[in-house]
Amino acid sequence: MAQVTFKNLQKRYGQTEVVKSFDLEIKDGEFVVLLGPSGCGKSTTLRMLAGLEEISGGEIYIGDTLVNDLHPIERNIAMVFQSYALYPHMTVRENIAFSLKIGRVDKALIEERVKYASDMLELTPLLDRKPKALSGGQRQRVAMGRAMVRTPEVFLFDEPLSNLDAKLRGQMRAEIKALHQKLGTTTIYVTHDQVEAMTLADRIVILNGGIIEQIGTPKQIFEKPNNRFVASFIGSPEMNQLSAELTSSQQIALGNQSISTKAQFSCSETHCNFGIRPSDLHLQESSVDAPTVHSLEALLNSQELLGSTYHLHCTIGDDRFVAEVATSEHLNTKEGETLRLYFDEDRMHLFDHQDKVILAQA
Amino acid sequence: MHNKLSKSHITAYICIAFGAVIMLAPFYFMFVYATHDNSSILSVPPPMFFGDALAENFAILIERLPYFWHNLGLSFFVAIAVTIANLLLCSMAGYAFAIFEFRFKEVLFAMVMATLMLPPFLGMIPTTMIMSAIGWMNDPKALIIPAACGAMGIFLMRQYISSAIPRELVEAARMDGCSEFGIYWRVIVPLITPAVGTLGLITFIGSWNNFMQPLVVMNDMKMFTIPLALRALQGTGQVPWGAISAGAAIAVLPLLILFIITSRQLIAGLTAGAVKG
Repeated sequence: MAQVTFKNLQKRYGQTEVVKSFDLEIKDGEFVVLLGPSGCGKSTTLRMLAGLEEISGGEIYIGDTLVNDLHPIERNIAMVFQSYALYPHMTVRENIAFSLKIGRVDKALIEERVKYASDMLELTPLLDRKPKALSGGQRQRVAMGRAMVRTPEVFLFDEPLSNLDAKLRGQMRAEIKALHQKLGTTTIYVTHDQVEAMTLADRIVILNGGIIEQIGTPKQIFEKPNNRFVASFIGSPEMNQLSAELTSSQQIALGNQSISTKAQFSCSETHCNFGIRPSDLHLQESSVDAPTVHSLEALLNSQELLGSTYHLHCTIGDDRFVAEVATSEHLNTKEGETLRLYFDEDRMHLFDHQDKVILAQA
Repeated sequence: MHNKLSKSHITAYICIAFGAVIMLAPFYFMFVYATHDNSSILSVPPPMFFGDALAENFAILIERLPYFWHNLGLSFFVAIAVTIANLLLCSMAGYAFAIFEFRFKEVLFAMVMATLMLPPFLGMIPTTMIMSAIGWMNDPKALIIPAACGAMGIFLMRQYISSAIPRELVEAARMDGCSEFGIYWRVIVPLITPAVGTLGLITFIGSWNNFMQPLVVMNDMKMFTIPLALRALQGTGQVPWGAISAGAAIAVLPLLILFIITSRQLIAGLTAGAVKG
């Protein structure tokens, strides 16, 4: 096990900068998820750490060792690929044992490690099968077994669940989590799926266009996004963003409605964006368990029943937004009617003209 | 509908049968003539069925070509050496072109492909001059080394590898600690056997049947390959057609056996690259 440090890491393809000044310290045994839309540089960062991609600038340390120019095998890391990359001509046993065989490990020890991994991953009955005779989930487990037997210092996962169906994905997510808890190996996991990131990570690193937008625990990222990108990227349905004016440090105008906040906000420009998560909007004041409750009037355009919740599609002026309310809370409001939505002041977010969050001063 | 379908089927069968007859007739008559003496072969109409002069024809063949078995052995040696060399070098080159990124990759590959545009005869004279200059005339090396690697083989291997081998597999092997040659040998080679089989067959047949290159670099009758040796029978005096046919039948036999064993794989290999996603 080891800590991993990225210092001013950069990657360029010709003139195109894919990763720009990436700085991150990952603690020993930590599970870190790199999350972002496709093309944000998350896989490239992982591949640079693995040694599969050359580094254009900066430094990567595993433990205290600078690994920039080390061959992948010298970095003592193992990687699970998106396509699993199992050797089709080898049995499950041979696949798992391959790296040990290459490393000329003693046969008895290979046998022991393969047994340990296959028992832990429930692969023992499948050891003599070829990959084509396995299901997607089983292949995924073989790929993990192959990474495990090497007892690496760092585990890398490159979108390992994206080829599985939704049900299996949930199951494998739990297995990866359990494996990490058992082995305690430092793990870096790349995905574009926010559910995977939220459920697996100790810390999430949100990437966009080759730069880090925010680093934090899943709770911090969800509740205190640094900017509009993070706010809208995490959460489903995504955070509502309405254009607003900061008329004074404690007064926000949304269309012709105004909210007087307890907290003070300061911003050089008056124009800002008001953000609130759909699940933080309520139809009854009593549902909001907070000292400072505000409300807004909105026009209900349409509504969708999703079972335990309703999605209410509303407008204030020209801005559209969604409120997610419990079915039990629903007041039989009809489309075209005006309704009042309540929210906790602590749950609202304000973003300035550069899309950065405006922090409240108590 | 059914009627129309069977009609088109019949037409297709007739066309295929006609083609088969045209393709097979020379083989059939080669075997038939191997069993007839010259006067019978040259009579009108020529013989259509097997005769009884096979042993006699063999005797003439061995008498006129005292090194016949040596020639046959040499042909085998050259064909096998050329095949092994091609399989190794073309698969390595194809692998490099398919998987690696290196400077001038596209230019180099274009140059390799451009050699296909040159008529083979154009290279014959320079090759012969080089062989002569380095003292390889009448040496099997002069047939093996220049033919050890070809653009067609490299192209076939590159196409097959880039369609059948995902890049992640190579990267996984690299992370597992394989050397670059280890990746090629332990991961790539086992996965490209269909293409290896196809290229092996094509190369073996091509080398076995090669006539022009041996003609210019082999002067000593002992060092003739089979096509050249059989051609030598037509040189002077009365041409012993029966003996030539008997020799040709023996020369063709290894190819026929090889083809019967591997035809399924040959056809599968030729089409495999095309349909793999």
